[in-house]
Amino acid sequence: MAKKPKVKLKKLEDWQKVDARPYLEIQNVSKYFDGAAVINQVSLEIYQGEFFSLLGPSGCGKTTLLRMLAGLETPDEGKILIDGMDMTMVPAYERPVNMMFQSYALFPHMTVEQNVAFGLVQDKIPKSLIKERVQEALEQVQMEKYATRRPHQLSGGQRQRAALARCIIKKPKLVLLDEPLAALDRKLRENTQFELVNIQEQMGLTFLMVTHDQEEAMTMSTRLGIMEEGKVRQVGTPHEIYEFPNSVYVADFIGSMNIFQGVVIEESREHTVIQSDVLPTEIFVNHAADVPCGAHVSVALRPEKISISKKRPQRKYNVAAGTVQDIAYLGDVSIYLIELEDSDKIVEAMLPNLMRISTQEITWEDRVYITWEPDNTIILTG
Amino acid sequence: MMDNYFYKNRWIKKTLIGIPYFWLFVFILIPFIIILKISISESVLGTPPYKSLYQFLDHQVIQFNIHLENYQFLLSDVMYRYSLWQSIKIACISTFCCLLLAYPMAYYITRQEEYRQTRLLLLILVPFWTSFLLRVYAWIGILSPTGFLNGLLLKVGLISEPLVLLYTPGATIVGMVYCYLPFMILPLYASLNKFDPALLEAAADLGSKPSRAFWQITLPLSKPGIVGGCILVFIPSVGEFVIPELLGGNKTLMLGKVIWIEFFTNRDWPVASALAILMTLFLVVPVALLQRKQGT
Amino acid sequence: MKKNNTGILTVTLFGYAFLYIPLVILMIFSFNESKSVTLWSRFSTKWYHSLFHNEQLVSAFINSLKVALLSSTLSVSLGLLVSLVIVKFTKFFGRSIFKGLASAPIVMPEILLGFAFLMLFVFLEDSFGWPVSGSLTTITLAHTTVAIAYVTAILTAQLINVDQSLMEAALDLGASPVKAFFVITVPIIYPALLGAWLLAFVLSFDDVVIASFVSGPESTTLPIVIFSSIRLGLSPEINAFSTLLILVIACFIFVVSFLNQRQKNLFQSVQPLEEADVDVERLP
Repeated sequence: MAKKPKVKLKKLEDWQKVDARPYLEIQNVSKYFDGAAVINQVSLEIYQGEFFSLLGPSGCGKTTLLRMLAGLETPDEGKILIDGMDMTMVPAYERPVNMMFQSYALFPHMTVEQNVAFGLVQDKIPKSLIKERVQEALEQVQMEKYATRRPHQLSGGQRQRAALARCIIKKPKLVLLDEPLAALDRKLRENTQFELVNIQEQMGLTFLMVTHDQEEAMTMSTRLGIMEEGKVRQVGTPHEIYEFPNSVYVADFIGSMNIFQGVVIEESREHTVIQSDVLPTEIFVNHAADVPCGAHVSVALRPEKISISKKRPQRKYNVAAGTVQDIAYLGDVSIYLIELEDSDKIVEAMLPNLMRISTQEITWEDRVYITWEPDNTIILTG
Repeated sequence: MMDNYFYKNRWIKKTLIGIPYFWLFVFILIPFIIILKISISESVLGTPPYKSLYQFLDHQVIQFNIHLENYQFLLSDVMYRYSLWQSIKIACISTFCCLLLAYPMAYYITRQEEYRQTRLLLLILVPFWTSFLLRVYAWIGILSPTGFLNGLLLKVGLISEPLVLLYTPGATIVGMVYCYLPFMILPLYASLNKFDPALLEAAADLGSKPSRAFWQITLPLSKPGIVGGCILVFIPSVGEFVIPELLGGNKTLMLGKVIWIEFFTNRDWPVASALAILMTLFLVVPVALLQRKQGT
Repeated sequence: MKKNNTGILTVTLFGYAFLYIPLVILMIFSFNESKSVTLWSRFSTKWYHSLFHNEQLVSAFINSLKVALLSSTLSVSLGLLVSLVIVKFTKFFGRSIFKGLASAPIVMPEILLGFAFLMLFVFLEDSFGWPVSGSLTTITLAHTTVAIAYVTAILTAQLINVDQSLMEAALDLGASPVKAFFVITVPIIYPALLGAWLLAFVLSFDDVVIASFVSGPESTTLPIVIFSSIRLGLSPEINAFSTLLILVIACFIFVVSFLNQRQKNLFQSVQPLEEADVDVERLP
């Protein structure tokens, strides 16, 4: 496992304080369906004020976990504690948790106002107070003008905002979001991402979002949890997950990753050298790896950490030669697919388009050299 | 799904299921057990007009009187055979006529725009919801020798004497078709409506003539509707009582009337019960099996 | 396709004519002065007058009304419960038997049902002293049971279509399951409930066979009276009654259909071009 270098952050968040008490604790929760474990011994700690995302492919169990937090499913094993209280067996309608459904689930026979007020009505809050709070909530999501409309008279984005207002009006201890942006088009999605984070921060609520879109998760979250087949593989800030994945799975899941298989041939407390079949030179990593010599490891390297040049760099390590097979022009960056000379491994490199592409040096079929800095690679054992 | 909502209180779930279960058990299952029991009892005079299945003899021994002759009688007697045959015959003809008339109607309706479809369907439903009895009654007025049809034909001069239309099997068939037509139209409509007109367009695109497209695509795809409609018409028709009684007269003897006679006139409850059991086996069991197969 | 179209149209028109002409004849001749169904003598409403004064018919009508109102309300309540159980509870002891019992009356001929119910009531009266034979109670119980089957068929289809997440959202917001059911599910399916109630009502009001088996001299229903009088011959009072009935039913059907249409609109996901407005408002 790669050692994390110390990074100074300005404000010490709750999840970095050693003795901070978690707001939401999931302790060894499992759920079985037809004998197979859909959720397998999951433990998670989430702190107050976080925007936490559960990220994973379809079927990994993230939605089931969310529903268990909402009270719509019960765990077969384990406990769920919210603000220190054991809520495992508490039904959904008695939990201080509110959920925003993927389909929004707005009540079709009620107006937006009535939808948003529904939760307060169930708590038997006096009518005048309800009216006030509904107005407040609608203003927060900019839906005051649509208060008397019915769901079928609203557009997708408006429905989502109504659903959000309904969800936060009770100021619940935990707000659950099930793929909230999945149904929106790209432009709207970007705007809504900012809105959601704003509201969360302004109101000081704790959000837990489930999504399969990693970009979304990275943009919006304070911390992420990557799930695979019912287990949580890694939990960390977006930076931690991106730069220091703890496994090939996590490394590959977020963004693109080049992975080289190799054997450790030299190691010390300050450096590690790995020999790989597909690269002409050895890989030099300037930190220790906690693995003995001779161990098989995977070395992960992000595309944007690679530089390309036509001249061979003067280095002993971390160099390879290849041919540019394909270039994907994405407007702001370009992705180069380079087939390495001594093997058919294809390396992905990403460079910003500092100049217009027609005037750039490197083009298709060019023979180029790639290289990277020693502290940009991650050594993974699993 | 809802299994989850009541993990707090298991008894709510049991009550919710229990109440309807109890009702269905008492009012549907038990009657049939009773009928089964009576069908194997011997017929006697008195109340109730059947002998008990068991009786205690002097030495506390139970004697069972299982009387299967009722079934034997039904299966061998000529009159019952005849009424069975007539019931099936009339039900089949009625079902077939219904199908012939209903299919084009359903087809036509599906070809219309949505709002017209709703209106056309409503027009079918209005007679359907009007009293069954009164609709049969209407036909008496039409088919009787002094009725509307005869009066019209006489006036126009097509015939010189009133036709004997009423109290014939034919009248029964007309009555059946009249009353059961909506039962055939609605499933057909539902089935025809489901399929994508794009299929026909594809067929035309590939060079198929419209009539061929109909036989090879439309008809087979509407099979579930046809089957559903036929069942909905045939099954009740076989056991129908009111229509043959009012329109069929003495020339039409169907199973429904036979049970009625056995029960009310002959007061032979065991035979009536046996007939009921046989009818159930004959009618309900195939339908149940079919539904299971279709997964309804 | 044109040739086909004319053929189909003709048959369709014939079909509708076939359905309506008998009813029209019935209605026209209810205003005929004479008893005849062939000769039109004079316009008269005398049969309507005698209808309202026919004591036997009127008391039978009231009986039928009582039974129909009670049995339809009861059967919708129970049928709703049955549908709920079938749709929501996926595992319980004897579920397939339950489903079978719930739908059995639909496929059985009325004569069988009538006979079965009578046997049941005789047995119950012998063993427990209740229900008293030949009272309106027996008819009501029988009608309720038969209607449950039809109500269940209608409501299960509807309940399946109701989005599960709506119920879940209601629970999530603090409503107990029972409250959520009445505040969310019921309003959404109410046209189906109304339709089912109406169907149950008509089935009960119109039933002659089952009622014949389980009724008694003091508890005659309207169809039984009409049935016996038909066997004796035509009676224009019945024409008058039919006309009234047809008109009332037609009204009901149109009202229910209108409500149904309105309900459907609530579920259409209309996406107006307001997304553009939304964007413009949002840009900083």
